[in-house]
Amino acid sequence: MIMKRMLVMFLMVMLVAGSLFAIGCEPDEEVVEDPLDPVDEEPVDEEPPAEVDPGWVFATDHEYSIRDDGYPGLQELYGFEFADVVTMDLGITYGALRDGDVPVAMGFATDGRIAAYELVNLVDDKQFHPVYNCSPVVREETLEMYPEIADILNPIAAALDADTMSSLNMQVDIEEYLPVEVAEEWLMAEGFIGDDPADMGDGEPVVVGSKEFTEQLTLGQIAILALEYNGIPTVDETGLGGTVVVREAQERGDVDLYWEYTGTALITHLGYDEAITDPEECYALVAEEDLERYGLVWLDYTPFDNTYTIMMRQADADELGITTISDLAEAIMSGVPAP
Amino acid sequence: MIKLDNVTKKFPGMKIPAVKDLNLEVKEGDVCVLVGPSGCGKTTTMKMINRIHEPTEGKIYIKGEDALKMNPINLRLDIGYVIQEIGLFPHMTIEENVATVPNEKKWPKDKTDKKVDEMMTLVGLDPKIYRKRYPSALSGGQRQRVGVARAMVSDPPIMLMDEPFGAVDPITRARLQNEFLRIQERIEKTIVFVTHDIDEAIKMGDTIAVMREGKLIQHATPGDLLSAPADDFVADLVGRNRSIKRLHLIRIREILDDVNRIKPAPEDMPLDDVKKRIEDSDIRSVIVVDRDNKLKGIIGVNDLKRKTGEVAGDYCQKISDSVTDDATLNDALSVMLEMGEGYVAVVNEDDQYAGTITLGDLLNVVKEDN
Amino acid sequence: MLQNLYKLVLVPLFLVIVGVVIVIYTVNNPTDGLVARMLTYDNVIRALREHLMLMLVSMIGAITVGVLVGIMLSRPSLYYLGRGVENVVNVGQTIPSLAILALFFTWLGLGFRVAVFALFLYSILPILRNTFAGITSVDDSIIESAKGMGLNQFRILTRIELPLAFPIIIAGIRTAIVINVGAATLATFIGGGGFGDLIVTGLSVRRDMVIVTGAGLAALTAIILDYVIGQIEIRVVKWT
Repeated sequence: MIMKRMLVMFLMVMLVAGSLFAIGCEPDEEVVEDPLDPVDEEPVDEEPPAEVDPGWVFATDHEYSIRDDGYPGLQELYGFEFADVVTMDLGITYGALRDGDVPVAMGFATDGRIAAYELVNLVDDKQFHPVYNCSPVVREETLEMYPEIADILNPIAAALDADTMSSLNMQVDIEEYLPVEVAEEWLMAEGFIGDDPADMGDGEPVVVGSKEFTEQLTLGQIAILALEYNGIPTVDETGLGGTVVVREAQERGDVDLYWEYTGTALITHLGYDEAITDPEECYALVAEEDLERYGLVWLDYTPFDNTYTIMMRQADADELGITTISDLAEAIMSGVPAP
Repeated sequence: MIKLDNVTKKFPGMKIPAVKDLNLEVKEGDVCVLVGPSGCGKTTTMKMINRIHEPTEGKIYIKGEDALKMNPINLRLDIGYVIQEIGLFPHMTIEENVATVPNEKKWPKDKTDKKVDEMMTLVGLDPKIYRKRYPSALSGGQRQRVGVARAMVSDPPIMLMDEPFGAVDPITRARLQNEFLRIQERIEKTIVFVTHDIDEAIKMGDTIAVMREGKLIQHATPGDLLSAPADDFVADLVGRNRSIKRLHLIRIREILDDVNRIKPAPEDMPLDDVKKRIEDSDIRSVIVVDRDNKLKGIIGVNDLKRKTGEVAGDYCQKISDSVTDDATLNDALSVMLEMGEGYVAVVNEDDQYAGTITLGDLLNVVKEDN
Repeated sequence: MLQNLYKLVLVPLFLVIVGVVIVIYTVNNPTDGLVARMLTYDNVIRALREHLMLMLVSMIGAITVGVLVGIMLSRPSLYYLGRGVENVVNVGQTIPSLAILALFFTWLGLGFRVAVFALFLYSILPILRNTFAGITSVDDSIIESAKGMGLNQFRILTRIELPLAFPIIIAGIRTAIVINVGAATLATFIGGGGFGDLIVTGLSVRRDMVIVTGAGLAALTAIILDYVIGQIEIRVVKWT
C-alpha cells in the first residue's frame, strides 16, 4: 500500500521534472522581435558554422566572456568563433589549458603560470586588446618633496619587460618565494641596488601601496627597496585591497605611490568608455588627465603590458604553426581539428 | 503442548544466566502465567518459546516437536505474539495491522478481510469505524485490543503475551481482562502470559509459574498457590491478604444463584407493589428494570417517601456502574468501593440485569473459605 | 482529487510560469547592450538545462547511493561502523561547498562531470545520515513485535523500517536539495555551467538584472523541487 503510493509519487516527480525539461528544451516559437541593434544582439554561443571542429572550446572567466572589449569583440574583429565557450574562475583557466581540458584559454599576459605551464601568448596582431602597461603613480606633493623618485624608478620601469615580469610572477606563484625576496634579488642582479645604501633621510616617509595580487605585491616591494636604498624612508602599505580601494586611498593622500595600469586608469578612474590599444597614446592621455584632475604624476611606463591574452599550449601552437590570433582564427574557421 | 526441558539462557557478557535449568509444561488450552519481580527471567523464558532469544542449553518442544529445529519464521507465524508496549505499527491502519500475519501467509484478500472483521468485532472494535484508522487515533485500551486481535487473527494454537494489559488504567484493565477471559473460554488457546502483578496472575491463570532470579520456584494452580505457597518468597508474593486474593478466583456468576433473593421491579410496576416487595424481603432497596430487562435504576426505602409518581420508573435513582457476571468477586468489590455503596448490580453479556451482589455476600464467601 | 490536482500540478505550474514570465520580461527589456547579450533565450535555456542536469543527476545519484548505503549501515552487524560513518559525515558536512568543488577540481579537473560528481558526493551526506538515523530510531518494540509475528529481516526492512523512516529520509533529501541548489550555482567556477554562469557574469560586470534573473531562476527551481517533495511527504505519511 505504502510502497504503491510512494511509487505513484515518484512517477509524479519524474513527470514534473520531465515537463520542466520539456519547457527548458522547447525551441522558442514566440521569440518577440528583439528591439536591439545588431551589434549588441550577437549571442556568445551562437550555433557555430558546420565546419568548425567541436573540439575548439574556449576557457574564459566570466567578465571576459561578455565585455565588449572581451570575447564578443574579439570574435567580431578576427572573424571567427569557437565551437563552445566554458566560463570559469579566472585563476583556473591556466590549469585547464595545461591539463588539456581546453585547447585555448584567456589569461593575463604577464602571469607566471604561462611560462611555468609551457603555454604561449598568441600575438594580438590586430591590436584588439586594450593596453595595460604599468607606471608608478606618485602624488604631486610627494614628488615635490622627493624629486629624485622619478630618477630612481624610471630606469626600473624601463627594465620591466614582459618576460621579466612573467618570470618574477612565476617565482612567487610557482616557486613560492616571497615578493620581497624576488624583488630584492632582481634589483640586485640588475644593479639598481647594491651593498652600499645611502644614509636614510629623516624626512616624511613615502607611503607605498599596492593591490592584492602577485604582480602588484612584487612591484610594490621593488619600489620600496629602491627608494630605501636611495635614502628615502617608506611605509609599506602593499596588499591594501582592490583597485578602487588603493586608488581612493591615494586620492585622499593616505597612499603616496603605487603602480597602476594605463588601461585601468583610463576606464575605471577617468571614466572613458572606449579602450585604447596604442600604449603611447593611452599613456599620454592618462598622464595628462590624471595630473590635471587629481594631481597625480605618472612616471615612465613599463614595456610589459599586462593585458588580456589568448593562450595555447606551446607544443600545440608549434605543431599547428600558430603564433597570432589571426593564425588561430584561420585554423578554426578552415576546419583544422582541435588539438 | 509447550514443554521447556532444562532450559538455560545466558546472555553474552553476563555472569549469571537469565534463566537457569527451567522445566515447565503448559497443557493445551491452558493459560500459564509467568510471574515474578522484574529481572526474574519471565520475559526471557517467554521469548525463548518463539526464539526471539535462543536458549543456551536445553530443549523446547511444541506439540512434541523440537522447536529449535524448526524454521523460526514459520514457527513465529503460528504463535500469536503480544508484547508489553503492544508494538502496533504506527504507519499502518488498524486493518493493516491486524492483517499482518495473514498477509505474510499470503491469504486471499477476501478471507483476510473477513477474518479481520471477525477479530475486530471479537475484541469489541466496530470494524466499520476503526478499520481505516491509524493507531495514533486510538485510546490505550483500544490499542491493547488491536494488539490482541492482531495476535489471534490467524488462529494460532499458541499465544505469547507479555503484560498485554500493562499500559492502561485499572478500570480499563479489569474490563480487558474480563473480555479476554470470555474470549479465551470460547477459543481455548494455549497461552503463556507474563505479568509482574500477582492479582492479574491469580485472575488470568489456569496455572501460575512463580520465578525468581532465573529459577522456577513453584508451578501450581492459583488455588494451590494461595493455600500452599512453596516457600517464604511465594508466600510473600501472594501476600497476607490471601482471603481477599481468593476473591480473584471466584466469578460472580458462580455465586449469583445463591444470593439472588429479590426479583427486580419492572419500571411500570405500581408503587404499592414496589413497597410490598421491599417489605417482604430483608433488604432495603429494589432494582428497577425496563421492558428489555435492562438496568433502569434502584429504589431505596427513602425514595418511596417522596410522592412524585405512580409507577416504579418515576422513583428510581440512576446506577452509576455495574459489573458483568463473568467478572470476579474482586472486581465487584472494587466497584462497590468506588461507588461507595454496599451493593453492585450484575448484568450478563447482553447487558441484561442478572442479579445483585452485596458486601454481605462477599463476606460470606470469605468466611466460608476460612 | 481536485485538490490533489491543484496542489500537485497547478502550484508548481504556477511557479514555472512565474519563471517563464521573468525570463520573457528580462530578455525583452534589457537595461543595456551588455545585458541583452547575456540574457538571450539561448543563454537562459542553456543555463536552465545545465542547472537542472547538475541538480537532477547529482540528486538522483545521491538519493540512490545515500539510501542504499544508509540501509546497509543500519544493519545490526554494521551498526558501529554506521555510527563511525555518521560522525565522518557530520564532519564532511561542515566543509564549505566551494571547498568541496575546489578539491574535486584539483583532483579531477574541470567541467560539468566533475561538478556533478562533487554535488553528488556533497548531497549524499544528509541523505545517508538521515536514512541511517531514521532506520535506527525505529522503536525496538515495533521491530520486536514484527519479528515475533514472523516477519523476516527483509520484510521488516521494507514493511516496517523504511516506511517509518520515510519522513526522516525525506527531510534529508530536502536538506540535500537546499544544499544542492546553492552549490550548483558554484559549478560555474570550474566550468560546470548552470545559473551560476548568469550570476557570476552579472556580478563581474555589475549588471543587477542578470544577477537577479540567474539567482531568481535558481531559487525557483529549488522551491519547485522542495515543494513537490514536500507534497509527496504529506501524501505518503498519513499516520501522524
